[in-house]
Amino acid sequence: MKRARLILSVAMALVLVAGAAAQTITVGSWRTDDVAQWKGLIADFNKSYPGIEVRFDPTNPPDYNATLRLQLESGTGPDVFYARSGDVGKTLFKDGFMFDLSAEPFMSKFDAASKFFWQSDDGRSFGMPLFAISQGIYYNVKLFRDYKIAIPQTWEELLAAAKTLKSKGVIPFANGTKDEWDINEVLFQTLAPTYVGGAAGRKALESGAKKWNDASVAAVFSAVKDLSPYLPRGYAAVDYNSSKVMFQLGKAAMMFDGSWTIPEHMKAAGLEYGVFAAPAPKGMKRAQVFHADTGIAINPKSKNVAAAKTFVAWLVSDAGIASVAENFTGFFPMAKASKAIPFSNPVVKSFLAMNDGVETDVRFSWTRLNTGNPSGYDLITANTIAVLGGKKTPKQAADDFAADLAKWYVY
Amino acid sequence: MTQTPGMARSGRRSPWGVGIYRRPSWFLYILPALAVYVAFMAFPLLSSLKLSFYSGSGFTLDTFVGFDNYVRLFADADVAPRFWGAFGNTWVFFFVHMLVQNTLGLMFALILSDKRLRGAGFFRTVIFIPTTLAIVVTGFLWKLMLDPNFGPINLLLDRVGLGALALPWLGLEETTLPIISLVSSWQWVGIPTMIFTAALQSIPEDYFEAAQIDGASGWQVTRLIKLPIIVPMMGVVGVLTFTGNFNAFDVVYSMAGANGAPNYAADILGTYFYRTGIAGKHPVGIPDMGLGAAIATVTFVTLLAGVMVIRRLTMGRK
Repeated sequence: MKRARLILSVAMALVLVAGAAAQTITVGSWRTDDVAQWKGLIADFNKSYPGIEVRFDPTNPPDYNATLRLQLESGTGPDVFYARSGDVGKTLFKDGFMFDLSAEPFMSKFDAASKFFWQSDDGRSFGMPLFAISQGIYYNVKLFRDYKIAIPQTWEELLAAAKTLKSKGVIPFANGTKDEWDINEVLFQTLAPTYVGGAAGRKALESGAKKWNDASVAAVFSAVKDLSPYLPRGYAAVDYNSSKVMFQLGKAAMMFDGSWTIPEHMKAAGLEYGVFAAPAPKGMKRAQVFHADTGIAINPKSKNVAAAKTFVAWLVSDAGIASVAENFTGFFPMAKASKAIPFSNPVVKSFLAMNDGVETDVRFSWTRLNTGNPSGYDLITANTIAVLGGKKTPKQAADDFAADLAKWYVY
Repeated sequence: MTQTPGMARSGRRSPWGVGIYRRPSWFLYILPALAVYVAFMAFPLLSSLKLSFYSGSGFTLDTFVGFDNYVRLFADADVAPRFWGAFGNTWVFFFVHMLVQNTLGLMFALILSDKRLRGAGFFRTVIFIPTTLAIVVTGFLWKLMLDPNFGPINLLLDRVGLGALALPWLGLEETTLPIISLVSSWQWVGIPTMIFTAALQSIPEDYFEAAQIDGASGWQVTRLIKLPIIVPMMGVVGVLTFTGNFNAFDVVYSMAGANGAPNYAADILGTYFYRTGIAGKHPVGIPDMGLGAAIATVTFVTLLAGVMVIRRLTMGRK
């Protein structure tokens, strides 16, 4: 009798273990910073689905694409993983490493514009849109109050504010160029949509209706040049982290940056901060970057495709959207239903308000320019830094940008 | 003379009179080491050599392209400038180490091995400590020290009225690579110091006594006795520095990123290889492994040639 009970309990334990193992899914990601956020999300998910264990398994961001590719090719890839929008995602899909999600019911929760960035050229969806991010100018509320500066509504007012701050011995903008990616992605690409004329202007450039050295492109470089007197001393040696520290310590009054930095600023003791949109010059219409950043894809070789689908579908259920919005401050869920979310964080609200009444677009280079040799992305970086350093005029920068793109760009 | 070498060997008696060399059992003794060497050294080296002749998408290299990767590396208008830039920068990196790290190492060793010096153990420890620290730590510390606005180096320059010299050290194309090379030299100066100290301490005391009786000055003792005796050690240090520098990656990565910013001014073979063959370029991040393997092969050939030259220069003067 005793023996039978023992055997029974062992057998039951084995069944439990086997059951749990069959229901474990791993999530691959490039966000090593988001472990705590994912813990919250997974806890919420397990309230509805206690039987599925989700393990968040991020990779060092610069190595993510290569590591993921290697894992997928060797059959050790995660069940569910972050999918890059545009070219990088398309390549993985073409090579058969992503499940075709087009017919999945959860895809109907997105409008066509959101889905677009995780679709192959023939319109099949390889990723479900998860987060968008926004970009703008963070400002130190206390410094603005002390020096009686109002939130700039035009580019001219922004430069005037910078001039005032500089005369008071405050660094106007914390941004530097040492890390290169930030001057490109959070400065140039925050400004670009306004000057090139939103998505329509970008598409005109991409289709050849306008040349890449069009006056509108030169205008972006020209705006970059306007900022050069207001960057920190020795900005060439200031990296992204130093910029954030300078802003958090109140040494710098403003910083071009993305919504993903909100959680870090929240932890900075005594920092009173807000955010406003990079303003357009007088008489020009503003356009806003609202970048389709993170999609989520399912590995077709996964042993738990059903569980993976359950998880991905939950992410866009009402409970899932609420949990994403709650846990991932600074990242915006993209499902149609998420427009109704009552965000509580005032800076998050400011970021969302930037989209009101203006056209939004993804980052300028993300659709066509990130690939190629030399990549359009690298050309933006190099020319932006050259203009800031006075080595090229904005016109020369635009001309060089166009000439180098002509080496490979096919209309 | 028409006999094959194998037969010749089996017909000759071993000088030790032991039969082991005539039978293949000797092979068993080197088998473990050979297996490890083949599995972890020779095989990866050869397969990397093979990869450099292939191209493909992602990590599956299946298209044989002959010398195409090398042609691109040496001559392509967009690829070659990056390669030659990294190649040239690596030589600069190496020469700074030879000039600063090894010269200082030799000087420290001459001082430390002087019997009249008190507290030699203390100084030796101080000189050696940076070598034991992780490069990520020292790179970060030096970045803080060199910060253009709040770093102690520039604050000090400002304080003494030399504000004009308070440059963004790691932001200028002219200064970044020399500064990083100096930081690396600072970190590793302990190694040549140790090697030279050991060599100097092994010189028999008789030489110095004889020199003293002959009335040699301190400088003469150094120049005519100490230095000639440690020339082979200089060769060893030269080889170590050369191989270390041509495989270097971490110090540049931690202080100037994977691109060797600004504008590739600090890009060395290690970072160029990492970017091309392993991580891919931001933001796409898909590596070109064939080209990466070609870079690795060129680095290997350079190392082989360099080591042979250094050995020829220093070992021939025993």
